[in-house]
Amino acid sequence: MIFNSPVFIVFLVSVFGLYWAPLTPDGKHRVPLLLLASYVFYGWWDVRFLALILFTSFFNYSIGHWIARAPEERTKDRLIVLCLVVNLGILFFFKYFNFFLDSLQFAFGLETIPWSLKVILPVGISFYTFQTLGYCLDIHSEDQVPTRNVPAFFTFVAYFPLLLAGPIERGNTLLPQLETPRVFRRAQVVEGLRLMLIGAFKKMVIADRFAPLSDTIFDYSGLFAGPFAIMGVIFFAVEIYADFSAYTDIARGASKLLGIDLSRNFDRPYFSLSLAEFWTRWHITLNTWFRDYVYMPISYTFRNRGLAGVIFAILVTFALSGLWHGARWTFVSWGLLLGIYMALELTFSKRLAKLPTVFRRALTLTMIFSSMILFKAKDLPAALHYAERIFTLGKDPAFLTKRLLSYTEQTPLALICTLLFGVSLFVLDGWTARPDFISNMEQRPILRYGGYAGLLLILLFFGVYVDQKAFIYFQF
Amino acid sequence: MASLLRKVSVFILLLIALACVLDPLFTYIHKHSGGTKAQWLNAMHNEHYDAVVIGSSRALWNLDMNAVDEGCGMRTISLANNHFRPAEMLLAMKIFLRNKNSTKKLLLQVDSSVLTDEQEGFSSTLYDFVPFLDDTLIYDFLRERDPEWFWLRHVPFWRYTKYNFKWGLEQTLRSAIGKRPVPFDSTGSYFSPTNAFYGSQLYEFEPTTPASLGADLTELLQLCKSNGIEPVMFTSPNYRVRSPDEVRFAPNRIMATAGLQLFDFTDSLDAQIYFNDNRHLNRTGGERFTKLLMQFAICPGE
Repeated sequence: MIFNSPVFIVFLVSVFGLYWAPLTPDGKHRVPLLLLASYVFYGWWDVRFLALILFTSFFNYSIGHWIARAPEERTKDRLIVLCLVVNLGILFFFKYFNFFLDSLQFAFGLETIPWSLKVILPVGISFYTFQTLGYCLDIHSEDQVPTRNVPAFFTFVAYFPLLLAGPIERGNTLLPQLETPRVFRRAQVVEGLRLMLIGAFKKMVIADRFAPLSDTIFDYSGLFAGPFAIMGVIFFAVEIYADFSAYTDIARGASKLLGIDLSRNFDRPYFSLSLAEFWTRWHITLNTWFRDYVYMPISYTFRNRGLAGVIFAILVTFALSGLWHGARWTFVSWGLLLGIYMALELTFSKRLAKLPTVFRRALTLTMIFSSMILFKAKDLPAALHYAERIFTLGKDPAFLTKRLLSYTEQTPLALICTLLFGVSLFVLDGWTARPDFISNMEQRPILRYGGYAGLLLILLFFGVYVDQKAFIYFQF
Repeated sequence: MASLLRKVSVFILLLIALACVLDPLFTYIHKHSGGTKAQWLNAMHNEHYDAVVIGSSRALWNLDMNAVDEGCGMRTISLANNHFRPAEMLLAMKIFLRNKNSTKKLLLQVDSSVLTDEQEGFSSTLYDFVPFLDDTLIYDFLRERDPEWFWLRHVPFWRYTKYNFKWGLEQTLRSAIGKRPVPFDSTGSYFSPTNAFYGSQLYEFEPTTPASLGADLTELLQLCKSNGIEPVMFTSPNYRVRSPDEVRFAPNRIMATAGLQLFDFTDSLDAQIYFNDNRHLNRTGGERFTKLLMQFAICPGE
């Protein structure tokens, strides 16, 4: 059940109706209903996943209380280590075990490894593992009081709008909303519907139209070179941003329909003036998580080593962030490359600050886009080959354009529309980020309804409904 | 909440009304214009041919029916289409015969990719027949294969939304003003306009599903038999396509088992100068292959 499927619409409408229906006094049925709906949603993917999420919920609920109740710091420390071992152990087993074995096999030149496992990767495991870990770490650092509300906690872990690809919420932002009765607020529901409409537009009109372009250029990198190879990276950058921010918009919108606000995950990241700024505007909840639970403790530990300590903390954080994305060396290398870029930016920060804004923005985008080759490529040799193709003079641009149109089965006009939709992503970002956006919309009904109708018509005529790609971040 | 629901309902009703208006409009425009093989075929009535070619792009691109007409003194057409699989071939032949057309021979392009469930690149192109869902023959055929065609027929405009890359706004507007490009000539041939090669030096084709004649091809052959049409099977040339022997020779084996002769041209033009890519001939290669097929299969001895 993916967000851009008819079955999800039926599911959400049913949940919405039952959720706000006056079935119980004070709406006491709402959290249990959300929990049930979340398990139906997750079980729809594979019913076996439910056992794991039930165990994770039960374990973290219990250990949260044990940590809070532990009389001594030492016991608290031991319990949080146990919590880390169990949660990361589960993640390692399902996501990284075979990657680890394959790497061992490659490193030692072994022909076969007899104990490789055939396990399916439960969707969303990286997201809910980090969410529950954050909850326990916050209890350990006394930033969070463990909840006694069992249904609320189990819903916190499995809440369907964020279960598959975040945002990774903190206990102290989501749990209070699950523990207190929700009140129907029209403005919140309208904003939710608006976010879902924008999310559908980003996914089905932008991401899914850019996906075949970037896929084709990467798949046929032997043919496409020079400016086309650069375009392939830019197309992927637009695709991944549209795709992931679409998911977040739909998740936040669906949640708002249920009276629950989720955190923002994106804030016009491609307008950043530096990499450091980019990471405060891209996948905000994950990067905040890594900042608070990985970077800060490491940099604190090495605080006496000056810049070297900070750079070490950056490199470790980014390498782990890369590994979090996927059990592949391309993701680790992607993280490390970004870490190196960050370290360089930090080292030369004073000089960089003196550069004109346009140049700083271009430099930031160059660093981000170049790292995306590693993110997109299927393995390291393919990434290196692609990078090499950027500096190769390609064939006749007219011929390559024809090939691109032919492989993606697009007409020239359709390609132009796709590119215009890509540009509109940033215009839309600019509008919706303005502080007066909502009040402006409220005051101008023609603009508001015209906008909704326009987006719906674009979805009708230009949305991708065949061979839809799953949201990219589902694989993580 | 009530006013919000009312507004959302009005929006949805307006959308449905728009869909109810657009659906017949799009259908009318596409039924009365050309640009695809499906439209061309549906407009074809009471025509009589000596030979009809059918198959995927490897039949469409590789053969010049004008040259066949000239060289063999015959009247031929190509019903072949990009990505056509046995299901589309069968449907195309059913429509062709239902419209009182006839042919003496059916030249059927078969190869390993047609005979397995796996074909490179794209999914089935049954959506070529989208504007003709009120045709019982087409609708029943499609619905039997996928129940979703029920919704595609009965939910207004859903078919044109879902397949907007083929039947969308641009194609409809172009059709309305008679400017939709027709990617084949009057005989249905698309003859590659370029000699450029953009394939690779080794193309591996290793399907995981075994090759078989399949229900659609079996029915197509039965259709030929019941209409007195002589089926002639052929395999188009490849350039450096590597497959295991059981895949490479699957068409020969399957046709022999079915008691049918196969003209296997897989390795007949194994030089890059004849190809656009590993599986499609260029203009020069197409001319050579058309002559070969005429010489051995269409009009031998002439």
